[in-house]
Amino acid sequence: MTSTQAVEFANFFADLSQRSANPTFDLSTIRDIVETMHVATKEPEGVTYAEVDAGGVEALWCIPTGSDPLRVLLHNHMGGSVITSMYSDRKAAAHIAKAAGIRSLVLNFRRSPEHKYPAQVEDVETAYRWLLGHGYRPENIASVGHSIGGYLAVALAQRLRDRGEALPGAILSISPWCDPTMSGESIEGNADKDKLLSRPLLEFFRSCFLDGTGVELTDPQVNLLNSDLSGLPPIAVYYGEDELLASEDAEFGRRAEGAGNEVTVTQVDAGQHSFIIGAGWVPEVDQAIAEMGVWLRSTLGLDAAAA
Amino acid sequence: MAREQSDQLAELNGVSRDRLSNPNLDLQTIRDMCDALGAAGKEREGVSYAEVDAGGVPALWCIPAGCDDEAVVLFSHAGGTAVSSMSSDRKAAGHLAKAAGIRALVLDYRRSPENKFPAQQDDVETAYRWLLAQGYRRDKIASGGHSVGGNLAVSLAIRLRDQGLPLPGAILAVSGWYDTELKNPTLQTVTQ
Repeated sequence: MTSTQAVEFANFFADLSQRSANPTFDLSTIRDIVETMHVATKEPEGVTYAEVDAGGVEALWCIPTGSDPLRVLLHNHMGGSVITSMYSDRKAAAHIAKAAGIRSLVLNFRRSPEHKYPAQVEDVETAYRWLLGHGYRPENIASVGHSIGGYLAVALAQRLRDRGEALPGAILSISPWCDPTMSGESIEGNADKDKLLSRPLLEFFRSCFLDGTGVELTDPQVNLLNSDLSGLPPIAVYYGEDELLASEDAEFGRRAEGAGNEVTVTQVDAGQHSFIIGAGWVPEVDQAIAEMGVWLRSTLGLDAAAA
Repeated sequence: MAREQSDQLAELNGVSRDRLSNPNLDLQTIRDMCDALGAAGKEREGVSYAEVDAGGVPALWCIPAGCDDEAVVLFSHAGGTAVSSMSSDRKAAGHLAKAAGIRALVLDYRRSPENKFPAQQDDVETAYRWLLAQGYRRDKIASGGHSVGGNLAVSLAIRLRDQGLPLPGAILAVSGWYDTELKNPTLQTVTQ
């Protein structure tokens, strides 16, 4: 049965979406409004923070007390490449870090439309290389993100694979934006249930992200469902039952598995898009994050190392 | 603060003031824009945070690693009672707590116009009494805040004094807003 907190959380998203959709607002104002979504995330205890320049990319360390010194989660925030930031994702990323016992580096990648594709992917790669430069080994890095950040988490590994470089040890892709053509059945089927995303909002995001770049919506560089998914590290895909992207996320999981990867796919009951923002409040979210933590520890070999 | 960074902050404040002067904005949007200003503060390293119900007042602990266990600064945020929050003041309070080596308790007191005077003073007093009930000694509590929070920091001590109650050990009032008649001459002279 759906928790009352999950219902309240969906209503919170509905209110946020409604307020930010005012057509008289400029982008700065929309960004400020959506930035406040972090109030839905409870402050995780026992985590400290440090801002850092990750090779030219603004970033924020979330460091749980007693976390593993060798491993790291490279975390990419939501927002369609246009809105939200490392600030609005701080607490959600810290909850995942705490569940895993692994520090998280939350990136403030350049946003569109000021910076279009591939600026975001380049920033993720820059930060990854910065981590390597600081002694983190590829197999000890998990590539993590939600929404557009879930796409970025996969795209990083694909870029490295295509160049024959060492891959990160794991990909945790939450509510990934896989298909900018918006062809999945849940784009229409969940239109009434998804309180955050809408077709016009996704059209706005993809326009900011890609217009003028010459990159088509079907281009495998930006469309994970059209891309080569072979030869990737273990992948965990999480998505919410009620989100517009549910069908494409499930399809991504199937294709990633079909390409020969080790894949686990979890649908969160009554989950909204980017449900991790409800961490510390919504029991279904906390349960999913606890599972992510177990998977990350296991996949990055932390439990084996401790045994 | 170095002059360059100080000038950048002043410029940011100027841009924010221009954006906030848009007469079409509703209060909720103005609050969101003010909360977003919290991004300008830099994270203080070695500080963790915890939300707490301080006797009915939502509040946020800022806990520097290895800090003193007995002392606390009770901190009230800026925003004229109408805008800003414990979230937007989190990092600033984290810096203060770290500098002092003691915990800060940042209050999310009720805001106006939904809750007018003396709701804010009541909430500060409620949180102060909650601290006492948690075992903090009154002389180990500093009453702090900035802007209207500076006013609240002083008025807490005045209220306690007038009730003949023990006072906090210190008052730290930063950029306090004391004169609601706005007769302060710098309101005219510091306009740029």
